[in-house]
Amino acid sequence: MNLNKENSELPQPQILKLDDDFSLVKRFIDGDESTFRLLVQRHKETVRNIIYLTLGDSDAVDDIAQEVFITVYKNLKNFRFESLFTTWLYRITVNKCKDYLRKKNVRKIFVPIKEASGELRNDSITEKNDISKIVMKAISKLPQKLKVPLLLKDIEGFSYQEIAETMECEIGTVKSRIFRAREGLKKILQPIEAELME
Amino acid sequence: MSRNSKDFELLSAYLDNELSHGERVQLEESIKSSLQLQKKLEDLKKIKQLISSSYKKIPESPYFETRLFASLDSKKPWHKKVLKWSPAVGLAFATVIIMVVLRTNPDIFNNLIEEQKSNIAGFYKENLQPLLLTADLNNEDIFNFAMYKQLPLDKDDRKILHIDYDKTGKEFFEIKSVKPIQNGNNLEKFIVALNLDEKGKKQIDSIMNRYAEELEAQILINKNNTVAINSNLWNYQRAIQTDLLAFAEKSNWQEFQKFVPNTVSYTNSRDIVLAVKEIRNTHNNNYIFLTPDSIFSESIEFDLQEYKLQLSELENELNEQNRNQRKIQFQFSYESSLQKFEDKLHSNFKIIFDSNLCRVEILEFDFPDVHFPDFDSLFIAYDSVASNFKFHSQYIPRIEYFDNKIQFHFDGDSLRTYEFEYYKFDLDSSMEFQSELLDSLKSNSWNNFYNFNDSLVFKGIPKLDSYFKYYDGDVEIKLEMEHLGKELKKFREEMKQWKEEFKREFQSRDKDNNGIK
Repeated sequence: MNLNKENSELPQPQILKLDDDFSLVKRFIDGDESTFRLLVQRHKETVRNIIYLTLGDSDAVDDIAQEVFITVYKNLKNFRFESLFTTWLYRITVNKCKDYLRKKNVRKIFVPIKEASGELRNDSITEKNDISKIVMKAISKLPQKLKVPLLLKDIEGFSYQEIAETMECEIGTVKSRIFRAREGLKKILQPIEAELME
Repeated sequence: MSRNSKDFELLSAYLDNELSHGERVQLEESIKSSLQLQKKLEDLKKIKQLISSSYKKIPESPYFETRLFASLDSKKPWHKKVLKWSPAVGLAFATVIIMVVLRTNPDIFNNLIEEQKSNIAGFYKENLQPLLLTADLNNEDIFNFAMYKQLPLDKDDRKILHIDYDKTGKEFFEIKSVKPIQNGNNLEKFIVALNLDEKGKKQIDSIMNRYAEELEAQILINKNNTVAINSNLWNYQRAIQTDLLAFAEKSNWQEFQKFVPNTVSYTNSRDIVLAVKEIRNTHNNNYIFLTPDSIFSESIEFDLQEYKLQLSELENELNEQNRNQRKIQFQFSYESSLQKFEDKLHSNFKIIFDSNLCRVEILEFDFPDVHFPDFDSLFIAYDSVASNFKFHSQYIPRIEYFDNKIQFHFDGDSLRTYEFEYYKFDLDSSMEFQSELLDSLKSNSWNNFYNFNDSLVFKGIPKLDSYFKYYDGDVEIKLEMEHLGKELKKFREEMKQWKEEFKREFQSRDKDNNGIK
């Protein structure tokens, strides 16, 4: 009896899952800032890819990714464990991309307008790489709110739920936007559809 | 949204596997029955494939983390940065404090250094004892000091103190490991050369004793390997030398003249005697301390009487205990850390080292000024007398023979080594060799040997070393050479005769052989 009582009073061993984002975040909040490095290592590539997919070019990827993690570092102690860490992280990422694009669009006003967009007629397909370029170019012409959910789904393999949380919208909206993105892409690629759909 | 659009949207979600079970079953039913839906599904599938095949993930960035954490470091709050840089910040603070301290109290470091210096000086000044008492110096040593400016610091270790003046007249002293001038009892030879009687000998002895007493306080040493040299020591050397020579002149003028270059007259020695008196009366407490790791000058009061009193008390005590008094073994090592001070030393001293020499040149120092009449020429003459006397006392160099040269060594004076090269000995050229050797002996470097009247050289030296012949025995050598020449001539004739006999014998043998054939 006494033995059992003593046992029950003993502190229960804590099972720490090192691969669990929550446990890493908790340790960070408790003062072990070295866990932040582990979080970065786990998620940096996804973050970079989200940025890459969102922006459509790789020039600013690392700069924005840096900003993302700096924001995370600054705010991690206020993390409330109400959503997944990744959801929070990707939301910050997408918002940083939006900020970047907004600034870029403002800058664009002062840049001479280049050739009209959407002209795929003259493009000829010679190699497989060219198809990729054309598709990517076509995707880049989609509006951000359609393009991002589409790529998060088709490239990153996010679920609609994850996309909805990241984009801070309803799942139905995500479903609709992804469909509209695919439809839009089909329209953009229509001039060369015969070649693409072979 | 039209019915078609709604279905197409479901098709898209169906492709993404995002439909509920019910929705999926229902849609699949619809697809089966609708060609339009089937075609739309195919289109959407192709689009989806195109997208997923077109995009490649961005390559990994190897420096991403490094950059990020560097950036994070720079964005850390100031107190965290201070913590990280605390060593540097601490150093900076310390510098500022030192600067402030120096600004307000510029002499603080000098004072600290001076304090340390005086501590070190105190250590080396402990238990200084007169060299004359500790090293058992005798009249001979003092005589050598007067004439050759050398005093043995430690007879066992063969270390000597050598004081002198450089070419510009600046004082210097050396501590070196050479054999002191011991071979040849110089004082005795001096007495012999002057042909002094018993009275004269006693007078010399009293002169030496009197100076010995005065010299006692001039060189102090202690067990910390310190040599303290009174700045009056150079003057004392002059004084003893002058006094000895003045006495020599007075006691036996005729013999003395043979020592002395004709250019200097000693007849009026009154001025010299006055100068010696002046040196004696000069009270001087400035000592130059040479220690294993520093050199400094300091004024100390060494009370010889007090010291002697203590010493005699100690001696009595020891005698009571039936023990022998232990003497200081002076072992000065100039291979020690002193060398590293070479550049940093007090500018008044310049220290020069080599493998067996520690030379201290005294650049600026307040030496007691004594007015000798015609100082320069007088002392040059004195040194010349001492040098002459050295030869005069039949000091015979050690001679070493090599295959192609002869070396004359003056033990105790490594600088004075004479060397004569000659051709390898060859019977035919033996005459040539001998004459060459003679020529070289007659060269300028040997003028020293011809300064004196021969009669004095040989006087009182019954056993003359055979080598000494070279310095003087012109006639003897000539005779020997003639003898050698004759012998060689005889030898050649014998060879010639033998050659002819041999030739004849061969010819007769040839004839016999031909006859047999």
